[in-house]
Amino acid sequence: MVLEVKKPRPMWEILFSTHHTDIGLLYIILSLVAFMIGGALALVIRTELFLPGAQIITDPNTFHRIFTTHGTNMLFLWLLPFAAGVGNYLIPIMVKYKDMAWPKLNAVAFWMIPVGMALVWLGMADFTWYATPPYSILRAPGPAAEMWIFGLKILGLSSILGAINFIVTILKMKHPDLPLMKTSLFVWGTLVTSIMILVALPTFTAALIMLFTDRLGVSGFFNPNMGGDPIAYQHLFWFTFHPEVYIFAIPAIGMAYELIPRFARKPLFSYQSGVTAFVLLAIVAFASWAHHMYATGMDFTMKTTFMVGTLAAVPASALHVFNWIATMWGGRIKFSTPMSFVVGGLVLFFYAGAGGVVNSMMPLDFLTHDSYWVVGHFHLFVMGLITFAFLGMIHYLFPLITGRMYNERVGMITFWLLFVGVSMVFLTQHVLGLYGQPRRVFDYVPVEPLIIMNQIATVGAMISGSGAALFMANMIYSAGKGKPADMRDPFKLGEQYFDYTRKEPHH
Amino acid sequence: MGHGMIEWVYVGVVIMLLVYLGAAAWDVERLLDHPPKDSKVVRVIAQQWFWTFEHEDGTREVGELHLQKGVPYKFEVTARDVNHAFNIPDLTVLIDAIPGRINTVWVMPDATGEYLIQCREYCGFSHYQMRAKLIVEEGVSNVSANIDAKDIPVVLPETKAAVVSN
Amino acid sequence: MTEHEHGEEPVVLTSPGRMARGIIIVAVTLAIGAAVVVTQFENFFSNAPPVTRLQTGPPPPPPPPAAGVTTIAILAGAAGQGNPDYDPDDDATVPMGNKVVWINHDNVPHTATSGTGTDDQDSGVLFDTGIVNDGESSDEIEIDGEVGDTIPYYCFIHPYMISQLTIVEAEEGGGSGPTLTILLGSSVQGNPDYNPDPMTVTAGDVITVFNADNIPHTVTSGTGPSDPDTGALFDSSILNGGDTATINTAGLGAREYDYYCIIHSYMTGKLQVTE
Repeated sequence: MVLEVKKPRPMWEILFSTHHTDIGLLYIILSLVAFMIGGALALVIRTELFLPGAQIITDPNTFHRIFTTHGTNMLFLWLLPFAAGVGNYLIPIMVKYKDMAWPKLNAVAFWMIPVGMALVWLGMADFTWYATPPYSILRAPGPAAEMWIFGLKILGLSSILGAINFIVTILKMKHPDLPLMKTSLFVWGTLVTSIMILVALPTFTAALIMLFTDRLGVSGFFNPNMGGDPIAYQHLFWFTFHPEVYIFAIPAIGMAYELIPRFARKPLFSYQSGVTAFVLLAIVAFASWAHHMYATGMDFTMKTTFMVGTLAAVPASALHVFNWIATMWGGRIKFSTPMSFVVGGLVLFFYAGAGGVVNSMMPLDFLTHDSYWVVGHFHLFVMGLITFAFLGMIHYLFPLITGRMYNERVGMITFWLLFVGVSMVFLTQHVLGLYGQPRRVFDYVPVEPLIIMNQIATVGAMISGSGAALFMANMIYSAGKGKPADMRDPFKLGEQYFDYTRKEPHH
Repeated sequence: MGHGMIEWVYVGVVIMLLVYLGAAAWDVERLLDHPPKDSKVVRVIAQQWFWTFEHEDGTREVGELHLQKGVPYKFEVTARDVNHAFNIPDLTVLIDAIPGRINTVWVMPDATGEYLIQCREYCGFSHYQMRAKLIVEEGVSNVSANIDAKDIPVVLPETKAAVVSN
Repeated sequence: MTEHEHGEEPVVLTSPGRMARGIIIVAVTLAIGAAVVVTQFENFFSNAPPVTRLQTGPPPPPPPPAAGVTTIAILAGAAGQGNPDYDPDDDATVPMGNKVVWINHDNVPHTATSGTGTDDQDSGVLFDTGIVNDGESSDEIEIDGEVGDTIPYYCFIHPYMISQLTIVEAEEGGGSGPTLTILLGSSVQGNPDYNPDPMTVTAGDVITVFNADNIPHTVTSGTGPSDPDTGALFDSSILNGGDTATINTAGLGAREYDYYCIIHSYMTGKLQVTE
């Protein structure tokens, strides 16, 4: 499957290789598979919610297990591994080094992911991807719950090992003649993400262990019957997972910085402000976690503090958006598939951010908290900005990885299907949330507005699903039978693509 | 970076907008966080998967809550087993019900009718149907003998904001 | 780790056959995973968290006597001379064949001993509960006698507590009946729920359902919430913690019946009715 040189290597050699391009490819394949099966779960959820009452799922427990697995899968098995895959593929090339700093560790970090994936999927726990106690301690049946806990432990460890590898590669292994301030913004994005992973993840690692010992009954950290505090878990969880949402987003922002200047055929507006925005975002990301907890009964001062912390991150994101728009302004933009995805993602990013500002306003959060507004909001981020940037990037990297070109017309159809579908589902869900439909519900009050909006969302989901299926078909077919690409300039932009002929040793 | 000025202007505009929104939010939240002095207390107890309400005079209602229009109520919300959240969507009442903890939220219903009470925090098997009925009736008298007139929240017609003088 | 010069070499692209082999590897892995998920779905979801076995709620109230048993209360404050002592008191009636249980609601021990007082020579001959501690119930006491007999009794510790009971016509289907207990902690999915399960009774038996948990439950006929005939055959209706209800099996044919709790529909049980 990789751009093979001299002669094709045996499959098993690719599977157990430690070379960064092979591992990058494995990450990408795994994450795309996870994207598809997680998307299938989403279609099941939307079909069930098409009408009030039970449709294809008769048991609420099954529904709860499906949405828990959908969320867990999409975040930890699609977003993170794909970013790691693209990073693995490109970072050594971008810092002009032969591989990642520790190739064997790289392989170990990858192979932990299928193990975590198996644990999460086989168990299918039901306590939502937050795993909030006391429910997750006192009521959630096992062994699904324990499998989820161990699965996430392993996935977290994999992330941390990967992050260490990226940081050392970028800071220590980059070519001596290449200053950090001249590396591409994708490199900066990866560096900043990796540092954030190292700072944020240990907190959740601790929380997972505490959750497990609480379940066993040997500790009572979050168990009110043993004197514990359920809200303590929420602090630990969100201290990790608010920065984590930026960990999801920053690689996508880095990819946008790769694609937009190239397809606009105009230099980046401001490299300086890009670096500043990344560093600022990474720091401020840690100042806002309890905006997820406004409704837990926090006092006024604490709520105000976190509102300020949340709003402080907006200018940093705004800097990125400005950078992109200013880059595109006056450029000779070619809207081929990668560019269309990234610009579409930018549009959805704007809606997501606007909705986010609404949520951070303390009183408005009491309208939107734990309702479908939140579901629409975060999906506009993860599906809108991040997934679209990822899909744009995978189309862009396709010739580099396979040496062939995908079908451009199918690519554009894929983009339009996904853009229309994603907008239909998630913009509608904002309104649905304002009407009061809570999230994580198997059924809803059977009144006209709720039913109609749920149906619109389901139709949008089906459109998105068909776009995703078409995307996979395009990728698979073109990887095997696509036209060989012009490796100097496959997108006909008039400038150099990746220089695949550079010297690189194989392991 | 000769074209840096426009970026500074843009960031400045964004920051000013956020400061304005933040200040407005702070102002409204201040009202929401301070129940009027003589609010009637209603204890709300959430458990899997139904609601129990206890009034000041000891009456207990399960699955239904009767309130009077024009009277401020302070809900003391807790849970018996796992996390729930007490939510009256039409009156914008939302607060988590956490076992081992009492959270408060206040509201003054200003129109009679039947409203939906629902659970807004995933609590397991029947979370999706953990509902109750709120019935707001005409008050016996809108002003309790014990409530000081200046403590009654006043709804400003233009903004529909509830303002308490203290 | 030698270095290769790639500039002049022909690039070999992945062939469709090789691509297909890669897809098969992924597909087979997913198929194996799917097979495990589908077959083991319930098994991975079936154990209650270990911590629930450590939790203790408030101690459950003592189980009620089964049907076919008459209860007489020893009132709180009965130890004080002149206070009301037994309830029902002199007018207590016991159907022929029933056993009697005295439940002590007072905060000191009492007895129910047949006879007129401590100087009665036949004191305790017909029946004697022995010492019943505060908050507890006596054993089920058999009363020997004929319909119409009035038997005086008193408390051995506080002999000024005197009362009497009269034997009346037997109830229909007299004799102690079966009890179905809803267990403490049964609301937690994966914990044991009904006991005994399956339960075998004779048609015509009156089952006493006792909720030993501390939250409400039901015993409702049917296979689950989607069963259209839910509750058609029998329904205890909502039983609070500590409460009892009865289910009369008189109209039921001899076969096995499914039942479940409508609040916690993962709690299911089977009732076998025989001729």
